Amino acid sequence: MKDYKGSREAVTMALLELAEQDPRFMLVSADSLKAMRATEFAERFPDRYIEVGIAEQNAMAVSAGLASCGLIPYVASYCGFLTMRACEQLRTFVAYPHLNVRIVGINGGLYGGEREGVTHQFFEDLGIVSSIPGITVVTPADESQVYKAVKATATLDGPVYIRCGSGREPVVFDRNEPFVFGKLHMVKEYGRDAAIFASGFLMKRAIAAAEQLNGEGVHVTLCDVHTLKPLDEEGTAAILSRCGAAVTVEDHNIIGGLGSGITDAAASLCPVPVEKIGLRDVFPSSGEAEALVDYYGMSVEDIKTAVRKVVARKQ
Amino acid sequence: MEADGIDVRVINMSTIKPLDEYAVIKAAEETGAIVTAENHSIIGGLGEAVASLLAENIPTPMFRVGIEDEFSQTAAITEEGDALKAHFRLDSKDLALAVKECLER
Repeated sequence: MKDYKGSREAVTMALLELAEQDPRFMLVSADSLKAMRATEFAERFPDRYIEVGIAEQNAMAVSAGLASCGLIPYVASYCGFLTMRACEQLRTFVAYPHLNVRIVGINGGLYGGEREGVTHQFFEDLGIVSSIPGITVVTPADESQVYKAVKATATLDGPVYIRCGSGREPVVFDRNEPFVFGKLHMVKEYGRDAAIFASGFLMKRAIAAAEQLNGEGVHVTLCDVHTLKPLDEEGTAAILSRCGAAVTVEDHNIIGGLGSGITDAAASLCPVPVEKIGLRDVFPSSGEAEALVDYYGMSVEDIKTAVRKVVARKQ
Repeated sequence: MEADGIDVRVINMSTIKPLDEYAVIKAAEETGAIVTAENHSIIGGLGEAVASLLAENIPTPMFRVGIEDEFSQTAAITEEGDALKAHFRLDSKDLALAVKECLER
């Protein structure tokens, strides 16, 4: 593999490089090899590739077994099937014993459901993994951030969940843009009227909203919260305090993901008005990715409206 | 807490979803400090639902009492006491401390 395109290939590229350096890295697939564009991994490292078929609970339990022997398995499949179908295996056999399993969840969000529709759109996964103690959760904003996130979390202690997309998510950052695990990633600092905490593949829309608002006299600070758990509480509190109001933006239910993480932090550290942009706790339908996200309240205009609303709510 | 001169309103939130938004917002308006208590993680349950509602309507100092995002253990409940409740700080005295901490903010 010479280069990667999209979040799924980015994971595979990173994993190939990790596997070249360290024999502990493995890939566990639930008939997801092609989805991960990881055929090369299977060909080059056949003794480190385990195929369980369409059996995600088995994949999770197998990964737990491998990790318990000191190996570092990446179990990669649709995020909904890994977090929902294999939830109990994740919780009791991976998280409870704090094993070094890396859960790569693809097709995160509404974007992810374009080809396969409602059963393959996932907007609960962050809520699930965030409620289980001890799982590190990262939500990189685009393909090169995914690549860096995999590398940055490769030898972290305990389970790690990496949220990926369909492979069609927009490229937002330069390949040189660093990924500093555990810290808020400052994207734009136009001013302090409000903060936008955005994550994942809607980052392009958040950036567009911030830029347009700036031209319209509302100056925001935009942060990329690529590490959802553990949340950079100090950084978050500082931004909340500085701006006095916040909008969260994510391709996930407004319950359980970034929005909840930020309102939890605000409640404990710095109560300020917050508006959430995300799926408003309804089941979406199938459709073309950008149109779907617009339809379900995550358009650039929706973000801008939320910012104006939250600025008006400041005392 | 009554003995210490702290008057609290206690509300039983037996329906988490849909949350009784009116009751929570009214409580926040009239008291200015909110403590939630649940036999659940502080993530994903009543505390989070209330934090979210307050942030979206009336930001208020808040303290969430519950399991602090850790795995539990097995222990006995005896006449001497409930070892689990004590360990995870879910006793009434822990609740009183939470209220006091919240009021300080």
